[in-house]
Amino acid sequence: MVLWGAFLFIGCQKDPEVPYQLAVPEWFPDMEIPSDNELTQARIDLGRKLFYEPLLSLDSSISCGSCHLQEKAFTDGLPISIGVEGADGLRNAPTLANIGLAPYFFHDGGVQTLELQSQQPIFSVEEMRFSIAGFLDRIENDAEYKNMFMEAYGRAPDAFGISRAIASFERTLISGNSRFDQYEYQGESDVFSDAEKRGRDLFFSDQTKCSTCHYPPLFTNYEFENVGLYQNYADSGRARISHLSGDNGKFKVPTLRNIELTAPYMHNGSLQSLEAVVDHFNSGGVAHPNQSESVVPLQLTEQQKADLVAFLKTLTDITFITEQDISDPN
Amino acid sequence: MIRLLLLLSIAAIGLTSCNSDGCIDPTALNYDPNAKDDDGSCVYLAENLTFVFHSKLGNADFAFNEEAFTSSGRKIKYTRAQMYLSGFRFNGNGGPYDLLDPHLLVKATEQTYDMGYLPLGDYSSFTFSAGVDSVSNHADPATFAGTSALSSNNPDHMHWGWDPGYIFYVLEGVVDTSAAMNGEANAPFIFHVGTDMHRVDLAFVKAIYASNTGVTVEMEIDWLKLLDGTNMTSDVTTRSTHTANNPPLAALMVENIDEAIGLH
Repeated sequence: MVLWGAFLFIGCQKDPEVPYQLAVPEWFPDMEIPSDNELTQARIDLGRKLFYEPLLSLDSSISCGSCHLQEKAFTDGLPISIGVEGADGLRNAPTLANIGLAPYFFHDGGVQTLELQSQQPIFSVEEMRFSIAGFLDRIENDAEYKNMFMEAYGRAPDAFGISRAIASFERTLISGNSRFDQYEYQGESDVFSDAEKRGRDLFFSDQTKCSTCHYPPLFTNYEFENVGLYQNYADSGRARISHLSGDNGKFKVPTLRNIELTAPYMHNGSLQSLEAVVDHFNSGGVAHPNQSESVVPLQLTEQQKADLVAFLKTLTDITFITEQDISDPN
Repeated sequence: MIRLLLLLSIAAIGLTSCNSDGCIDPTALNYDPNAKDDDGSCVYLAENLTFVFHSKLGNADFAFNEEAFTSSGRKIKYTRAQMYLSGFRFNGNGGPYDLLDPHLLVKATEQTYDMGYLPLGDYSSFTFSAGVDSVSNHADPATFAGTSALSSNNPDHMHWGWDPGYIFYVLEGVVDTSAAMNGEANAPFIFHVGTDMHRVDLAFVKAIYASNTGVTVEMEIDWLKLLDGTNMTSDVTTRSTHTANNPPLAALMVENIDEAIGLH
């Protein structure tokens, strides 16, 4: 009896080194996890604390969560994000939904790993304008942080632990439970209205070619495309990385998941509403030399435009924006 | 790095042999107390390899906020001047020997840098690059040891935060942009230059003897020379580059590097 009780006690202890099982929908691709940053609960917990930690910014006012708000599917509702002391940012804050499945980061794909990306906003003058050394000074006597870093990575707080932990937390930001997922992958055909069904068919049609770039389940093909917003782009986009003139004005194809919540749209937040976005694609863009072949005048009727917008709203995942485990613990 | 490991493994082997010839000098790295006769295999590390970078503004010693004139006659004052150097390698003495920590961040206001160890002996030349080697340049700054100049733990480290990597050269200050070149230096200039193509491999022929009391190598960096060929005016493209946004100005500065860095 005593032995059985002892066995039960051991079985109930939380082992912080047990690998964490990510709940990725089976219709999603597998997520690659780097071998030096396997997921554990301890790493995710530390990453979540750091993601929402304003001490990482110069004046302790801004955390990652300031521009990536859960209720807006981890965007901030602004055309261009604002940094410490009201600093003008450079681009629109992209959503972090399913970010662990992306092969690169930033609108221009300038970073290849989540682990590297997580450090950049800390140093960026337009964002948090601080340094890891400065943050480590601030938490020098913080026993809770020291314990969490030791449990997560077996080391004292440092850049490695910070970047790896934030990346681990970000890998848990999975959004795959929208009405589209229920309709398309779980056979629940009555969750869509007639307008949404028409919009879905239109989205996947040859007439619009929306799904050429925005194909499911992630609603992006991770290519860089120019959608003919301007004749002259102030922000050269992918060309900033590749130095190729053929990349001028190309930006990453964003996911459309939760798009209802992530206005305004485009790399610079210049389009305010889904209706404005549909109008833009319907117009066929300005015929920029690097413009995608799929961006041509669509000749949509008013009904078709409304149906498309209705469909886009089915990509909203309420569980993602209300999930407690990824919310701000402060 | 490989050489140093080789030395250490030779030492390990030396220390475990018995009753044979070996290194009989107790001050050597591979001293073998059981060796009967010296076989000439003794190796030694020099202590304290030191590099001294004398930073200059032309003929004058470098100082922040000190007035100086560029080759085009413009008055400038520096407020920030630092660069990465990497890949230090010494030739001769059975080498080449690569320093264990190959990366250095040189600041114009600091002269003396502890560079670690070099095996004792005579060297004929050494090389290093201005900028960061391409492998390290694409690595994650958080993966370098905290003591490395490239580590993101280091408050001075200079990195763009995305894949172009480290900012190799940071030159900031103010310049007189008046047409008559008789005004105050009060318009900002900023050169943040990097990317693999702007690494400059340098070579220096100099006899160096590394002894067990240490060795010092004296260099010079002329920060004024780096601005040769510029004519900085009110047009911001003549005085501001972050490399990708103004490649010609970045290239212009980099062309001066092999003349700006030299033996003291």
